[in-house]
Amino acid sequence: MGAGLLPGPMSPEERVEALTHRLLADHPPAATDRARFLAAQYDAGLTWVHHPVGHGGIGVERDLQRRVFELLTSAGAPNLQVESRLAYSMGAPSVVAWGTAEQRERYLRAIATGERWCQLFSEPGAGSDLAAIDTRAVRENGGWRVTGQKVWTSMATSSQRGMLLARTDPAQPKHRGLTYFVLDLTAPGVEIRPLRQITGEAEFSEVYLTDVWIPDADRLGPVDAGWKVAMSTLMNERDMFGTKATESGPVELALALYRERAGDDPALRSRMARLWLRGHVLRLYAARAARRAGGAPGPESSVSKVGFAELNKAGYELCLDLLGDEALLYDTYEPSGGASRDPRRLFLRSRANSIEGGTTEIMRNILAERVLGLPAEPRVDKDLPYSSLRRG
Amino acid sequence: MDEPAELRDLRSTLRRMLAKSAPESVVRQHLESADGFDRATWQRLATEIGVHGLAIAEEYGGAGCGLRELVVVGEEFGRTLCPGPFLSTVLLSATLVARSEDRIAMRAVLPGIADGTLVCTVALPGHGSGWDAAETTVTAAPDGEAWRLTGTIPHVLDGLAADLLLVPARHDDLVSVFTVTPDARSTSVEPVLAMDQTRRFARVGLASAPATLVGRPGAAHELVAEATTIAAVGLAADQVGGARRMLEVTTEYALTRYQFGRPIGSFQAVKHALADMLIGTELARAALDDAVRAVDEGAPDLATAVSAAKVVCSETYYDVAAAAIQLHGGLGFTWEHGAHLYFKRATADRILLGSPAHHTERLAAALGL
Ligand SMILES: Cc1cc2nc3c(=O)[nH]c(=O)nc-3n(C[C@H](O)[C@H](O)[C@H](O)COP(=O)(O)OP(=O)(O)OC[C@H]3O[C@@H](n4cnc5c(N)ncnc54)[C@H](O)[C@@H]3O)c2cc1C
Repeated sequence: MGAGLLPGPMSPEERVEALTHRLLADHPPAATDRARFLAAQYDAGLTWVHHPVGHGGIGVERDLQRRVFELLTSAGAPNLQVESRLAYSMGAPSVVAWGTAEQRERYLRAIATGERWCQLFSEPGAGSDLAAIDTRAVRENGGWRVTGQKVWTSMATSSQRGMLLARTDPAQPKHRGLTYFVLDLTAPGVEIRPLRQITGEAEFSEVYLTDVWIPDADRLGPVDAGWKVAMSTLMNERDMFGTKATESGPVELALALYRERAGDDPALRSRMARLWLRGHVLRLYAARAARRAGGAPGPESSVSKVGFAELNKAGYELCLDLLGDEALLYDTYEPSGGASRDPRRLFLRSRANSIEGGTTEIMRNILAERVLGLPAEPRVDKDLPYSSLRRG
Repeated sequence: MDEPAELRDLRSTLRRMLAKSAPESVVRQHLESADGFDRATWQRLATEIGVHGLAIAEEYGGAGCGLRELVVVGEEFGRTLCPGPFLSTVLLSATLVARSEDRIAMRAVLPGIADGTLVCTVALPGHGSGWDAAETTVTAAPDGEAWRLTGTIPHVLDGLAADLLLVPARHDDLVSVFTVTPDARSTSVEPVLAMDQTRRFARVGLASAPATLVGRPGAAHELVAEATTIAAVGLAADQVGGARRMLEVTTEYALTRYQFGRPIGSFQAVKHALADMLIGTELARAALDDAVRAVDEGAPDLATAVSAAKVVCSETYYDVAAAAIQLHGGLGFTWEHGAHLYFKRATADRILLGSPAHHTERLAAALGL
């Protein structure tokens, strides 16, 4: 387009387009090493366009990042939002919000050039009630000694680092004595045991931490303020799940199956149109929310999170009905079968959408309590010292 | 609840026996076995409590009971995911052969089913909607006194384990039922992986396979319709049994799983979800009982009652199993926990012998809509 030749100052949209075209022209994806391309993208401020210059951005609206990815994807360039989703969409914003200058420099570049992160939050005794985690971190010569068990850790086996929440002061009420770390998964004492799931594959793992040493330089945010840091991560996680709805996976798939097989069944026709409508409205909402929020996502991201979960489940149910008797079959339960886009596998996978990243019940509580201001159900343990609580 | 004493006894005997012969560890052993069940165990169930022959006439080695007893078995099997060809052999095949009034076929098939030695299936042309015999693409050609069958049936339940296939096939403008004993020369049986890990399907190809006519020529439509109607009630029982189990397991979990310092069952969202599971299961039970009544009485509203039960029980089982996963959180999504096995079975049960959409259509027709 040669946007740079247009007279007058460029709009943010035009700048983003022009910079992306220049990046692609200077570093043709087909002929450029992946890490080199990603480094050039970072230096051009096209990794997170809303970040300040020097941190992978050019200080424009977050929404414009979508355009960058559209152009990159159609040019065959890497897409971090897909390839290292957790690091890109959850790790980076938490680092921006809470990291020191040195940490921003170090972690953002690492993520931008392809490092993968996983989320070491949930434990056997602490899922919805995340603040009840039991993993302990104790100060020890310039760092922390950490012991505990995490569970349901997605993509642990393919990640280099983990966003880790641990308890540093059990004498305080449960939300207060927590601290957030960025854990190097190759550290001695980290043991990852894959867990199989409904689809047959092992996408998540149990992660055992036994006397793992973490340098204090890898602590993110103040000591005992980990809950707030974790909230940044979780808000961005919900937002990430919400924006996934705009990718309209099940709607596209159902439409393709519908065109191939539905015949003239009026009930299926109406379900198909309704499914499209749900996806459409969620897309409209997500775009509106992105314009309104500009920066960090708030409790409203639970609207998209719930909408996405229900859309996905309903969408793959429709896919199954469109498959007819073939819905009785499955492609493979081998643990290695994970990459398949078979609608039956996606159907089973979609059952987790209302559990992962905070359950639908919890999302509704958040909306009712934090957005509408309704009173919470009695919280018996909120102000008691963690060490005195009943768990199970 | 207010179950008659003889049914209650049957249920508790069965429950005790299944606790030994089909605990979860055994169910899991068979998730990947070729046939999906163990023949010796299957035979033991037949000889020790005579489960398979409950509804078979005494002169053919059965107990001569009705559908009520069979439904108790269906429920208990559904509850435990008991491995075995109950649907294909006991519900579909035995009913079809018994209804044929073909004494030779009855003598050849029913005693073997009753004593657990014969595994048998009906090669229905389809499941969700196209199971009507008229949909068959298999053709039959006369061969002296006997027949030869040619064609392919894509998803035959227990096709690999079956010693005998009952196949609707077309000849001279008629569709009749034939028996085929699979042999390596003229029958190909190719297992296909089922989403429901407790069930097995195979693609069966017949290339001029020797076959014997069952019942009158042209009787396939009626025989398959009768067998699938009875079997649908047995399947509805499987659904009620599975749904009840999921309700119990989830209630137990809601009492023992603590979050926020309280059992999760004390949160209204969880409580209401469980109450909905209970409502669904109770309504499904009522629909099932009514279908049993209609069959046992040969009532004029039989078709409606069975379709109603199949719709309600299918939807309930699916919803209840889905809610069970949801209320177990991450645990419910794992391979290790049993919820996914029930969810997958509920997904298959919904389709087998007519999907809710198919039976809703029949109800609409019966209502004159
Ligand atoms: C596929 C998948 C991937 C995941 N990946 C990760 C990951 O990478 N990292 C990570 O840290 N975690 C991960 N999780 C864990 C996920 O965040 C938790 O499973 C989730 O928060 C629920 O916690 P739980 O499993 O302990 O269920 P529980 O909290 O025990 O919940 C059980 C049931 O009780 C309900 N409930 C609980 N409390 C309340 C309440 N106050 N009011 C109403 N209802 C309530 C829940 O909604 C649920 O239905 C993943 C989970 C899944 C399924």
